[in-house]
Parts: sequence; C-alpha cells; structure tokens
Amino acid sequence: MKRSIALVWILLLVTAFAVAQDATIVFVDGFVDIQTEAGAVFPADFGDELSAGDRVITDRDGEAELELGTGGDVVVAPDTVFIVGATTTPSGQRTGRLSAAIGSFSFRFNAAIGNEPRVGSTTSVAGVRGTEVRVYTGSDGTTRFEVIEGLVEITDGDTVVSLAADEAVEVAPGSGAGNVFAFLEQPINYAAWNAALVEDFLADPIDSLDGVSIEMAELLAEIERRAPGIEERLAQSDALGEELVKIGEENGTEARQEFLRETVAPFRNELRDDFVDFRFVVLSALSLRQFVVARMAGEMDAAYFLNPGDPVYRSFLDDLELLDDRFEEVVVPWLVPSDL
Amino acid sequence: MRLRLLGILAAVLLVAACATIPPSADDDKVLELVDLWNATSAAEFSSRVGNPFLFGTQVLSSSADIEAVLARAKANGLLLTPEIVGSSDSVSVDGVDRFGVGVFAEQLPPDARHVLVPSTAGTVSLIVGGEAEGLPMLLGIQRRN
Repeated sequence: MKRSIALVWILLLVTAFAVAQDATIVFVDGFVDIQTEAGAVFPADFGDELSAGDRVITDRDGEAELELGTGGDVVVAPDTVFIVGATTTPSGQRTGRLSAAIGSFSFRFNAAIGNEPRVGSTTSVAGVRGTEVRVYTGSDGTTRFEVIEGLVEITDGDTVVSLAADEAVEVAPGSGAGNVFAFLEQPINYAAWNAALVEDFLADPIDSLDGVSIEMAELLAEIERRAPGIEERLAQSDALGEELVKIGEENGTEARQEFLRETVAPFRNELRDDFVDFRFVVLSALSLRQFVVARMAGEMDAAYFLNPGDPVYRSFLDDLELLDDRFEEVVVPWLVPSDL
Repeated sequence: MRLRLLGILAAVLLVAACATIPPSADDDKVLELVDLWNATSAAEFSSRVGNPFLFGTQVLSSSADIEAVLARAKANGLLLTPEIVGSSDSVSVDGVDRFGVGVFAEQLPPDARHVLVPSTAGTVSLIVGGEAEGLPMLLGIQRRN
C-alpha cells in the first residue's frame, strides 16, 4: 500500500513537471486513444502532446500520425499499442525510444543525423541512422524490421545485425535475429503475418513461451537492478519535501522559495528523468505480459478449452505460472491499476 | 375511481421498475446472448463483448486479441447451452490474486452478474454486464468444473 501511494505521487510528479513534449499528434483517423504515463485515457485529437511513457492505442480502423520533438514522423497502424519512451544511453545522452507493444508503425527521420530515437518493440530494439523503417510486433513477441531508407542496427545481446535499404529481418523472442532478407517495398498484410505467427506458436507452445520468458527475465533483471536506486531517490525526495516545509516554517517564504528553486526542483527534475526511464522498462514488461503472454495463453485456453487435461496444455500452464510468479514479485509493485 | 388510480399507479411503478432492470439481470436476455454466441461468427459476436475481456484466466485487452481468441474457442467446438443452471449478483473470478485479473474484477460494472450455463466443455461461468443493442455484454468466460 505504501508503495502504491508513492507510485501515484511520483506519477503525478512526472505529469506536473513534464517539460519537453516528445511528440505531437498531427493526424487521427478512426478510434485512437491516448493513455498517459499516469494512466488517464482519452480520445486522441489533433495537437495532443505526448511525453515519454504515454501510449497511443489504435483500434482496428484507427490510425494516427505523430511528429517527434526531435524530428521525425511516426505513423501508427490500426490495432497497435505504441509506446513513446525515452532512455539514457551509456554516454548519458537522452534519446527517444519508440516501441510497438503489439501491431505496427513506420518511422521516418527528417532532421539532422545524430539524435535519432531507438525503435522496436518491448523485446527488440534497433538504432537507426537517417532512416525510414517499418516495425511490426506479432502476438508471439516476434519483431520484424523493414528498412526503406538508411541504416538500422539491431543489437541482440552481443550480436549486431545491420540492415540497409530494402532489407528486413525478424527477431524471435529468446532466439534472436533470423537471416536478413530482401523485401518488397509494400507493407505486409499484418493480420496474415500475425495469424501465421500464432499458428507457429500453437504448433510449439512450450518453446515459444520459453523464448518470451527469456525476454521477460531480461526486463525483470533490469527492473531489479534499477529499483533500489529509485527507492532511495524517492526517499530522498520525501526528505527534501519535509525539509522544504521546515525551512518555510522557520525562515519564511523567501527562504522556502530559494530552497525549492535551488535544491528541490533540480533534484526532482533528475528524478523524473530517471523514473521515466525506469517506468519504460516496467511498462515494457507489462506490455509483454498484457499483449503477448495474454494472447498466447488465451489462444491456449481456447484451443484446449474442451480438453484441459492435455499434457501439453498442463505443461504450458506450469511454465506460465513460473513466469507470472516472477512478474507479480518484480513488476506488479511498480504498477497501479490505471496502467492496464 | 380510487381502485382505478391505484391500478394506474401500480402499472406506472411496474414500467419504471422494468426500465431500471439492467439487461444482465434479465434471464431471457442473457439466454438470447447465449444463442448469439452459438449462431454468429466471432467477428459478428465481438460487438457484444467487453474490452477488457476475461477468457479463462487471461485478461485480453486488444479487440483483435479478443476476436481471435473467441474465434479459436468457437472453432474448437465451444458451444453454450441456452439454460441457466445458476447465477449470482456477486461475481467471483478465478485468478484474482494476479494483478491483471484482480484489476479486471475490481473494474466490473455494478450490474455485472455471474451466470452458469452448460456447454460442450462442461459448466461454464459467464460474466455479463453493461448493455449492447438491448442485450447484456459478455465480459468473461471461465470454465467451472
């Protein structure tokens, strides 16, 4: 309960202190919703501004176009959950991160080379250089990258796969990138591609779930690595808040304002950036559970609804329970109900 | 004269009461929904399901996922018998100890109702609530053996 209250507080802080808008909605067709980092959901409209952590959700007839603050356009296709993210590179530079939790989007960079966002899904990410690229995320977690212009580099563990124009690759959860292949410039039929992935999954559900479990384990490890630091900074922020009140009571409004301006605000701005990075990982884990694992398990429940004693199904459920136990232990403490 | 007035008053009260009964509380309407499950495709039926939707122990929150999973269930022979063998206004959901299912259960509409019907998979529990085109919406299906 204490964690939930702290989470709600920091989510409000993120919203209140949001300074840079990362993207703006410039076109909407059909049903498109925005789910903010703090969990509010509302229909998307022209001119709506998005910050890191916000999601754009299109229905089967919905489509949206976004303009990125750093340059570049994104077209979010129907039946897609698109996440606007941000991340800090090892060199300390803040950069955008665009992901499809499910569905597809295309991205075209149209600004000076050097600050392109990273693109991909919750399980696979690519660095881009002066690129036009399409990204598809399937219901089994497979990510497909198609490069129309420029260069894309997909990092998967120690392996780097480079794609030039007219080349594509599919990255399956847990087993990495397949062979690079040439593709026709027209977008694929997402529904047909995804249906084939689901059939492949049902043919070998245990291995498929194992692959997704590997990706989930990586996200959970990242959360576990960062969580203590976030906890500590949240506690520091609380202490600063108490000190601010004390200074106001003892030394007056001017001293309070100075402490707020010089100490509290810079600390909270830094905390906000760290927390947005952290939340991106948390929401990636949630999206993987919500849109990939749930679909896989739902398909299994449906396929075996009349035959729940089947050993393949029972074995799948056992593996799913292990995945869910870890998810509940590591991710759920950082979620609020409005995240769903 | 007084009797006639009381009769009119009773009729008005009856009409008012009927108007406030949610479709989920009307067994005939629930059975009509069950008939539609059996008689229509998943694509047609999808306008009558809630989002999020609970299938088994999974909360599905994309309309494409819901339609695909319902299509799979129907293709694998899940037919419902139009007969209510039990019901409850307090909806109990299996798996509420998990975050997704717990949030789903907390956010059910106030008129949500739990209905047990026989099926080709044994007795199943339907969660119905809300309203679409005069009938309750199907919010979830769980096996109940």
